[in-house]
Amino acid sequence: MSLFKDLNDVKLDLSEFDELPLSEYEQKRILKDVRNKIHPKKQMKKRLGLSVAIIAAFMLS
Amino acid sequence: MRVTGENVVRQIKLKNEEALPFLIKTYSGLLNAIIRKYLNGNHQDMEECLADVLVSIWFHIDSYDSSKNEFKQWIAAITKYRAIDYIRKSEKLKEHVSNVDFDERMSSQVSSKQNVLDLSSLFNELNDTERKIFEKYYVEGVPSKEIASEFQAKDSWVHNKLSMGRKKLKTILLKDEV
Repeated sequence: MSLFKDLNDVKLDLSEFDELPLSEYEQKRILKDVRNKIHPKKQMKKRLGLSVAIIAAFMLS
Repeated sequence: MRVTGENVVRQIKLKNEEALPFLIKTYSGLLNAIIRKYLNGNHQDMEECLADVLVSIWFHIDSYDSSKNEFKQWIAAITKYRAIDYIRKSEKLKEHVSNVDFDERMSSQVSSKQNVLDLSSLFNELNDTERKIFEKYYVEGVPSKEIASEFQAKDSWVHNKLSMGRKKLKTILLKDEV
C-alpha cells in the first residue's frame, strides 16, 4: 500500500493551526514552481532552445 | 470547467491545471501554517515544501479515498509528512556540511585566513551592487531568487550580474598571474 493511501487514515486536529495566508506574489511564485515541476520536459526544451540560441550568437559574433 | 470545492478532486484527476490556483487560493493558508509549525526558519524552504506538497497532490490524487477521509484532511496529512521529511533532509545536509567543514578546516587551517583576505580584497574590485550580490551568493549562500527579490529584480538579472562579475575577476586574476 502506498504512503499516500495510508494518509487516508490520518486525522489531524486542524483547529490547532491558525491559517497563515500567502500574499498574491507568493501564491504566484508557488504556482509557477509547481507548474515547472509538473512539466519538466517543457522547461528542458526551453533551456535547450535558449542554449542553442546562445551558442549560435557566440558563433556569429 | 470552473473548479470548485466539490469538483476539485475530479478536476485534479482530469489534470485540469485550473485546479492548481484553486488549491493554492483555498488551502495555502492552512498548508502554510502546518509547514511553518515544523519548518521554522528559511522562507525559501517553506515555499519549496509547499510546492512539493502540491506536486504530490497532483501526481498521487488517485490514492485519495473520499470514503475514508476528507480532502482537506488528506492534503494536511501530506503536508505534515512532507514537512517532517524536509526536516530530516536538512538535518542530514547540516551533518554533511559540518563534516565537510571540519575536514576542510583541518586540511587548510594555515591558508584559510589568507584566502578570506584575498577574497575580500578581490571583491573590492567589483562595483557596489556586484560585490553585495557576490557576497550574498558565494559567501552567505543566499539563493539567487531571494537576492533578486531583495533588489526587486528578476532571477536572470542576478545571474547576469554574477556572470559579469566572474568575468571581471577572471580578467584581474589572469593579469596578476602574468
